[in-house]
Amino acid sequence: MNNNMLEIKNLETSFFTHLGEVKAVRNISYDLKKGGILGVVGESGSGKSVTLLSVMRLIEEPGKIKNGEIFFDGVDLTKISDSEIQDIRGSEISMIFQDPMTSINPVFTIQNQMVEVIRRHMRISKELAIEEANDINNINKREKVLEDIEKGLRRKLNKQEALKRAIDYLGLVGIPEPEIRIKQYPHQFSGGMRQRVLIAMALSCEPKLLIADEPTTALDVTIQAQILDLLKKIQKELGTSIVFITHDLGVIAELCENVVVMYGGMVMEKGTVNEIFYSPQHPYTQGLHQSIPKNITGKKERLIPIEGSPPDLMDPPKGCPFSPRCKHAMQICIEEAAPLTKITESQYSACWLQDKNAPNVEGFTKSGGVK
Amino acid sequence: MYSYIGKKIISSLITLLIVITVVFFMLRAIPGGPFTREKPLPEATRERLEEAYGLNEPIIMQYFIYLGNLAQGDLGPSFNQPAYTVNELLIEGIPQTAKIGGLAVIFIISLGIPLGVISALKSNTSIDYGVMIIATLGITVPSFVIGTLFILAARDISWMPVGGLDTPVAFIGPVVALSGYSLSFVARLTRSSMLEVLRQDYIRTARANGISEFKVIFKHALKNSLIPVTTYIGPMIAALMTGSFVIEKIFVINGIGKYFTESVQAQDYTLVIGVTIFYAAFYIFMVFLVDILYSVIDPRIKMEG
Repeated sequence: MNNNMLEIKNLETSFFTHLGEVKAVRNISYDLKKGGILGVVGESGSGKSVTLLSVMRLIEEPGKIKNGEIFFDGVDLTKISDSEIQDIRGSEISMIFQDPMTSINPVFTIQNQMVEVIRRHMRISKELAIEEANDINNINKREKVLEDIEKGLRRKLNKQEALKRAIDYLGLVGIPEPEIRIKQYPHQFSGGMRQRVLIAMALSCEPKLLIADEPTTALDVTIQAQILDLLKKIQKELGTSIVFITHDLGVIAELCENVVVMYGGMVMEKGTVNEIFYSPQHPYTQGLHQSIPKNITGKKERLIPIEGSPPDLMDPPKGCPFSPRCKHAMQICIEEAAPLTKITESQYSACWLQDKNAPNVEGFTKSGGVK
Repeated sequence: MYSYIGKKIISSLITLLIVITVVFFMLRAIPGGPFTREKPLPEATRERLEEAYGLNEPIIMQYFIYLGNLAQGDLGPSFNQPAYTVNELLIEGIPQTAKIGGLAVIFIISLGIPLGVISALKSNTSIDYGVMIIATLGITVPSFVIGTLFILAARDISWMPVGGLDTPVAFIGPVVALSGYSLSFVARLTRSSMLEVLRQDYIRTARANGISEFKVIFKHALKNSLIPVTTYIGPMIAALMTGSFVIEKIFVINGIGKYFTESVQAQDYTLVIGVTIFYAAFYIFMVFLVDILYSVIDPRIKMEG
């Protein structure tokens, strides 16, 4: 089929609170190719986490996916049943979260929790299954078992096999003495180690897609770098596709190939990491760059903040969500949100300045446009 | 672990000694005595009674004599029921009280926790509101009202006895009346604790790993949400097992709750201290048990002296 691991199409997710509908995600589309690393960047409340929680179907009451399609490996995740999505979670798509200190159940050992996940999803390898089947003496029974194996029916891992697998994965994510550490409880691990445990748990069933929701935000800087290196290694060695949610542009530059910039529940700009960093086309992306200190050698430099505050998603602006804060805002920006306009083969930006009728402003490429 | 238990036993014994001492001297500080009657006894009779029970000794001597006897397991004679020793009265009364109390504990745990869990899972639905309304009633309506309602009902229902503990049916009234408050409290506590735990990050992790909703709730959430419930249940068991004067009075049960109240009224020194020791020892034991249970449920709590 196509080459995309994940395709989000026109997704809308809202929270129906008693004060009114909070439109957290408003018509978002982006995709991730197989084996790639996609960065999703945006400030708090931009809808970046809600989008991916929608992918996992982990949106809790009173939240609801209102509209849109989410194709994972060709399957529309919004259409399948609760038990089907439960089978996919942890085995095909895994997710790791922001705060490792509170994300592991404190009253069970690491072993208990990892073995539970592995035995929930994993089947023994085909070779081992055939080997075991050949040991069956009764010929009829053996034939039947071999037939089942051909159909893909294999037994679950037993406790020892699951434990061995769990220890292997703890080793893979760089936990020293995994066979001892696995018997311990979460409180005996540091924050960085807990995030490694969570990554090991998430990877233990060989998911095709790993969603990392700000996994380094709660960790200190040296540990952050280690976790990022680990994720890079995983992507290279296991070929896992990764979606990385963050508000830190530095992390994006370090890790990702493609970037989606979100604001006010919408995609503002998407493109390769080079395009987003060296020729940003949206005023919001440009504003983000200007507000980050680049010069760390001690020379004085003035940071330019983005004036104003993020939109109220209960009553979002009619037009472009960034228009109230945008220094280039025009009348049309207030009235109507700009469509994502193609700049290059990979870069898209949702700004009216890209329209062919727009005034020429330095730093913006006009690209045909729709009006 | 063992040094922890050792230390705990020593501190428990010290607590118990303090309880005995305070109760012993406070009882004797109350005006009057076990042989004070509305119509005073003849002087000579009273003096001979006091001599017979050793009450003519100085108080400090009485205290050490009592401790000496206690060390041998002898709680002394009852002043008010001269035919019995305190040991005999306790041995007779405790099983009656413990039967009611034990059944109430089982009833509370097996009904209160599931009700709380259901309420939390169905929070803000009619099921939740129904359970919580009943639980609020259970907390606010006193046990003597529930007990009296049972007695009223027994008047019209032929198979329901009015009092005593002679048939299995007879247990229903006292057990329900005794459980009312604690049952409601446990249900409410489990509900709020469960709701709190279901919002935790590790529950989201379990769901994100594809763990079935059943296991998320009954494995991952329940064990965590029982930690505060355990805190309440320990002392609750002690309170229920040591009886309720009100319930025993209403349902005509000869348990120690009744003895206790009557002995205080009659200033029956030995019986008051005897029952107090039993209460205190049982309470201390339950708190100790809860401490151990904590470390079983929550590995973060370590048993260190």
